[in-house]
Amino acid sequence: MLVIVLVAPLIAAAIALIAPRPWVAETATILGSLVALAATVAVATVTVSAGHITALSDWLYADALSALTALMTAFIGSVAAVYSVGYLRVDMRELDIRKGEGLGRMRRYYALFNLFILSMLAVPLSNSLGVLWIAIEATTLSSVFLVAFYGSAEALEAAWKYVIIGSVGIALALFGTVLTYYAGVHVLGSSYDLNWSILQPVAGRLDPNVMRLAFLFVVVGFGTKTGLAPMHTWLPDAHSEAPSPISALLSGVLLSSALYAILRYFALATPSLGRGYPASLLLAFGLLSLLVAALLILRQRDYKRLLAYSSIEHMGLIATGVAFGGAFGLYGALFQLVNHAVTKSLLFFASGQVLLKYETKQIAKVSGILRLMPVTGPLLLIATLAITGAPPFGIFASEFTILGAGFHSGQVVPALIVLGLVAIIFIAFMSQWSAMLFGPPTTSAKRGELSGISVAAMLVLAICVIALGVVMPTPLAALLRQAAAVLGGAH
Amino acid sequence: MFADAVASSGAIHLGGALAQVLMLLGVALLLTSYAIVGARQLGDAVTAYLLQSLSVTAIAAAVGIGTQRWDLLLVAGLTLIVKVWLIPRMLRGVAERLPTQRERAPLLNTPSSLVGALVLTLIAFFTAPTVVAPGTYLNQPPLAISLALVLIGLFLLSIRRHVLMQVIGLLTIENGLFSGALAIVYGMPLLVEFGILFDVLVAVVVLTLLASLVHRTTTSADTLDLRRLRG
Repeated sequence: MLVIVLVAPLIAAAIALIAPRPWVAETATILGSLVALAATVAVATVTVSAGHITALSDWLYADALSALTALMTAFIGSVAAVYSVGYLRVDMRELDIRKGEGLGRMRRYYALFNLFILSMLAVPLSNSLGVLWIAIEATTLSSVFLVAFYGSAEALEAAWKYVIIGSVGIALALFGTVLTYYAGVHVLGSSYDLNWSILQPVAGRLDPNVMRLAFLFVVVGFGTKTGLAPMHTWLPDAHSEAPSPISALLSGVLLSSALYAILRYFALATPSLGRGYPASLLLAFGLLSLLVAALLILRQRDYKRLLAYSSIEHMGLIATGVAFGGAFGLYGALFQLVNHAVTKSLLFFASGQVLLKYETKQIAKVSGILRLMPVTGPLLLIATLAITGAPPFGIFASEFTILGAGFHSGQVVPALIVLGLVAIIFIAFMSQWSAMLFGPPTTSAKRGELSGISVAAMLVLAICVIALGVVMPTPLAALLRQAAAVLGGAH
Repeated sequence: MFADAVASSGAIHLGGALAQVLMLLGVALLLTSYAIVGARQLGDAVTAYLLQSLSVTAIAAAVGIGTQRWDLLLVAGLTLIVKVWLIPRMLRGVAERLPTQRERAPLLNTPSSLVGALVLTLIAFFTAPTVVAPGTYLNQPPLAISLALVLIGLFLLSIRRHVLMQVIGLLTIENGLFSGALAIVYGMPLLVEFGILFDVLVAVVVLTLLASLVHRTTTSADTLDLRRLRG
C-alpha cells in the first residue's frame, strides 16, 4: 500500500512528460492522484486499527500522524489535479495547447505537479529522518518551476526568493538532523539507521544537550518551509505569483508537510527534554507568526497575498496549539491542520477563478464577485467565513479547542493574545473580502463561470468545509486522536 | 585534547592522527571560504569553491580510512564527481553566458567583507562550546568550523548580489554542514549521504536554470533588481 501511494504519482509524472496530447497528461494526473488517494485511505484505515505499518524493508513507515498528513496531501492533490484541468485551459486560452510551446508548457506543468505531489507524499511516509529531509528539499526543487510558471519578472523573483530562502532553511534543518543522529550515538552506537522506528523507543535516552540544539535547528529550518515568522518572507511572494492550483497546494499541503516534520521531531525531543523547552519554542514562533500575519493582513492590497498571510496565521495557530499541549491542544492543532488545508485550498481555487475573470490581483479593483460569479461568489463567501473562524465551520471548532487547551493548561496570557490577534484578523480579513464580494461589478465581463470542471472541484471542497463544521466523521476523529497520541497527547 | 575527549565518551574511537588531519582540512575549509568572500571575479569564486569541495572530499576519505568505514570512500568519490567536477563546471557555464562577469559595486568592499568573515569565524569558535554543555564531545573544533562556514555562507547571501554568488553562498553553507556531519558524527547512513549529494546537484541545476531565466527576463544578474514584491 505504502509503495502504491508513491508509485502512482511517479508513473503519472512520467506519462505527463511524454504525453502526445494535453488530455493524456490531464487524465494521467487525475488517475494517478486518485489511486494515491485510495491507497492513503487504505493506509489510514490500517494504521487506525494496527498502530503502524512499514514497507520496503523499513524504509517506509506510517502511523496515524503520517497517515493523516498523507491523506490530506493526497486528497487536496486530487482535487487540485481536477481543478488544474479547468484552470489551465482557461488560463492558456491564447496559446495552442496541442502543439509546440503550449503542449510543452502543459507537459511541464503536469510532470512537475506530479513530482511535487510525490515529494510531499514521501515526507510523511519516510521512516528515516534523513530521507524525510531529502523529501522536504525535493518539495522545494519540484515546485520552484511551478512558482515560476508564468515566467514574468515577478514570478521569477518569487521563485528565486523561494529557492534561496527555502534552501537556507533546509540547510539548517540538515544540521538539526545531523545533531539528532549524534544525540543517538551514545545509545545506538556510532553507525545506525536514522529511522523513526529505531529512535522512538530510545527517545528518552537521547543526549538532551544535543537534542536541545537539534530541535532548535529543526524548528528554524523546517519552520522556514512551514512559513513561521520571521522565516516566512518567501511565502507571500511564492503563493501570489504561482498559478492558483499551485498556490492551493503550497498553502494547504506543503506548509502542512513541513509542519509534520517539526511535529515528528517534537515527538522525538519531548521524552528526553521534557515538554517545557520544545513547547515554549513553538509558542514563541507561533505567536510571532500570528502577530506578523495580523499586521500585514491589515494593510494588504493584493488578495492572493492576503490569503498567503492568512496561511502564516494558521501555521502560527497550529504551532501554538501544539505548544498548549494536552490531549485537547494536540487534537485541536491537528484538526486545525485539516480544516486549514481544505478551506484555504478552496479559497485559492476560488480566487483563481476571480483572477481569471477580473485579470487583476488588486483588492481595490475587484468588486461585485457575488453578482458576476453565481457559484464562485457564494463559495468564496462561505470559505471566507470559515477561514476566519466564524461558526458553524470546522475552524471555529478547532480554534475553540486550541484556545480552550490554552486556558485549561493555565497559559492564560498567550491564549488571550491569540484570541485578540484572531479577532483583529477576523475583522480585517472579512472587511477586505466583503468589499470584493458585494457591490457593483468592476469589470464588463459577462455573468457566469469560466470552467465547469474547476467549479466541480471547488464544490467537492465546499462540501468538506461545511461537513467538517457540522459533523465530525468517526474515522477521522479516531485518526486525529491517534495522531495526537503519537505526539504525546495520551499522557 | 580532541582524542581524549572522544576516548572518554566511549562511543567513537579514533587515533590522534585522524584528529590532526581533520583539523588541517578544517583550516583548509576556512581558508577557501575566505577566498570566496574575497573573490571579485566570479571565476575565482568558483575556483575557491572547487578547492573547498576538494577539502570536503579529503575529509570524507580521511574519516573513512581512519574509522575503517569503507563506504565513506564511496561518499568521497561521489563528492569528487559532484562537487569538484560537475557543479563547478555548471557554474562556469552560467558565468560565461552571463555578460556581467563583475558585479556592480558590491554592498560591502572586499577588505570589510574579509574582516566580516573573520569576525564570524571568531563568533563561531566562541559560541560553539557554549551551545553545548561542557563535557560533551561536541565541544570541539569541527563543530566550530562547520558553524563558521554556515555563518560565512549566510554572510555571502546577504552582501553579494550577483545570482551566482548567491548560489555559491548557499553551497558554502552546504559544504559546512556536510563536512560537519562527517567530522562530528563520522557520516550519516549511506543512503542519506547519497540523497544529500543528489539534492545538491539538482538544486544547482535548478538555480542555474533559474538564474539564466532571471537574466533573460530582467537583463540583469543582480538580485537588487528583483525588488518588485513587497509587503
